[in-house]
Amino acid sequence: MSQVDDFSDDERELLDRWSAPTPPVSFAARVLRERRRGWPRVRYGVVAACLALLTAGLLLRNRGDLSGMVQSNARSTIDIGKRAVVVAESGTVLEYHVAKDWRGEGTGPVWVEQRQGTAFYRVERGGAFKVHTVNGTIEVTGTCFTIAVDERTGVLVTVHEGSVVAEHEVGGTRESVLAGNSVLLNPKGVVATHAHSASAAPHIMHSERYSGMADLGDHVALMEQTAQLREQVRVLQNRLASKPNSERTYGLDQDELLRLADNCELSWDTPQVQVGTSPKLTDDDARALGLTPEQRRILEETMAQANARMVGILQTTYIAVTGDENIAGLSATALLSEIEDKTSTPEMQRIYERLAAERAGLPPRSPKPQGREAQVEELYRAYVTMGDELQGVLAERLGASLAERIRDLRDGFSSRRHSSFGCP
Amino acid sequence: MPPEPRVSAVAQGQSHKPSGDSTEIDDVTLERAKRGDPAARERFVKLYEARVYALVGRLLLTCPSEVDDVAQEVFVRALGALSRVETRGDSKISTWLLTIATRASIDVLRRTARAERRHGRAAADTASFPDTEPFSDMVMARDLDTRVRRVLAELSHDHRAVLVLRAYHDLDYGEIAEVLGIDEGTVKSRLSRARMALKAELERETLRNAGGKA
Repeated sequence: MSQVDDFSDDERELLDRWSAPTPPVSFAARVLRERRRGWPRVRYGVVAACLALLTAGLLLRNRGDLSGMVQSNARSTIDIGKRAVVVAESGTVLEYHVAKDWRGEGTGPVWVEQRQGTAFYRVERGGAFKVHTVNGTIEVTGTCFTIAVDERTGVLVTVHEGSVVAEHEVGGTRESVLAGNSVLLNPKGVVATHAHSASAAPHIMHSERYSGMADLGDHVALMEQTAQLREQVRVLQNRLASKPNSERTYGLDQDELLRLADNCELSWDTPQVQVGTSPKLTDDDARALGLTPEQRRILEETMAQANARMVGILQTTYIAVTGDENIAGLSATALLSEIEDKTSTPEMQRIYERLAAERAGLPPRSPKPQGREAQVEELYRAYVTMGDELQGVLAERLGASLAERIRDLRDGFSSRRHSSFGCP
Repeated sequence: MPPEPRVSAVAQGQSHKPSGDSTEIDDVTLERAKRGDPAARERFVKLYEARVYALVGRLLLTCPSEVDDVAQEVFVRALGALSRVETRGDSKISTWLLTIATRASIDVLRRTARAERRHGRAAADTASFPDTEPFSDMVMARDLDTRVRRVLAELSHDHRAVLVLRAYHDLDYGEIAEVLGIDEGTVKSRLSRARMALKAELERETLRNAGGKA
């Protein structure tokens, strides 16, 4: 038995207040998966050899590129490898080659020759992407642009997003073209760049300088509009797919939400909130999710925005509740601690009661609060819905499936929380 | 005769009373786990995961993802060494596992401390308690709970380890000394200091209750 005197009842009570984290349901499975990766060393050589053979096989199988020739009789949409979509108008002729990666997918450098016609390009960031035309080459690093090849006037490049570098065929004159600008490559060289924003476009396209290209200008504007609409549709589709069922939140069904509401309890998951810094994804998590560097950047950027928003709400509430505007150096924990010190237990109980009912789709069980209680309630509302909102934004930016996997990686953002102050 | 089980539901941080059974893996399952039987290994992890997780969480006082990483590493190490473990007399698998978990956690804390010394204290909020405490934990903690965490977090990790092993995992002086590689006298003095900090917080709480809420 123990050689040590037991703690006093008071000490025990105090120690009991320090709850410990509990492992997620999937913990054992993950450990055992991880363990299986650690095979005995004697097998490493065999595995390495197999992998080498497999890699060599893949490289051999996937050597070469994807290529195609387009002679468009009507408007058509063409995927060029994994990174680009081209909308080619009737009369467009182009040829493309995309280098394969080790998986045999077209994610490598892209070479396009656009001989004639008008084509709209949307290119994701990645390796080199070059479009060769009769008058020059357009080099891309992730952007949307339109190229219109006209035998009389030249090649009009209009950039909608990002930037391109246009290099003239003769003499190698290079011109960087930013979003909202156009450049004309005529047989004599790079003619000019002009703003083509919504208000400026008609002016440019119908100016004397561009006479003969007015149709192209209208065309470009129309295609730009089409692209914007497509993008809006994509965002809306993602939003629809990711929209949390209004009758449920992460991992909770309606019965559970009703039970929580009966007990004035809240259960939610949330990312960590930190002042002065942003949450970063670990390399292991990025690998586990199979994120590309760009996806990882987007994820961390989105999480940073969610963090900044929550910190903003926290700081605003702190100032409103305490009247103290000196928030420099105060952590999230300290801010909340002060806010809670100014909030009575009955107030917290009512806040929890209302929020739990709200999440269960029930009518409010007490009148809408005023003053300090209302401000603290808003803070908590933002906090308990933070996970769902973050998943929604991630779904818009990365797709619903990946957003769901990100949230599921650790059974919810950071961890699941369950809390109550009792009912009023 | 199997040793009297002493580790209880404290792993979930809810109780300090021994539960009486099922706290140690039985010999048959242990032998099967040592031979690599997947079901037995899963049983092994599930039986001890809450204890290891709780210990690592209380020692690290950091974000859940780091606790998860360290706890996972503890089990990966333990499963790797399981076939070489011998249980003699009163020695228990749980104590062995808690030893791995404690040392792994302290290693992490020391590495963090070294990094802070090298680079200077981070300007951001994440450098140490209470700033590393997940904000969400804070919501639940409130008042006394939070202050208890803060008091215990202000102890050095060596002192905190003694308190956690004694208070939440019910190890005796000798076992704690073995886990931490120190002598029993040091265990006693560290525990004493930790309890003094608790008492001080209790007194402050009593004064607060007497004075009412600000």
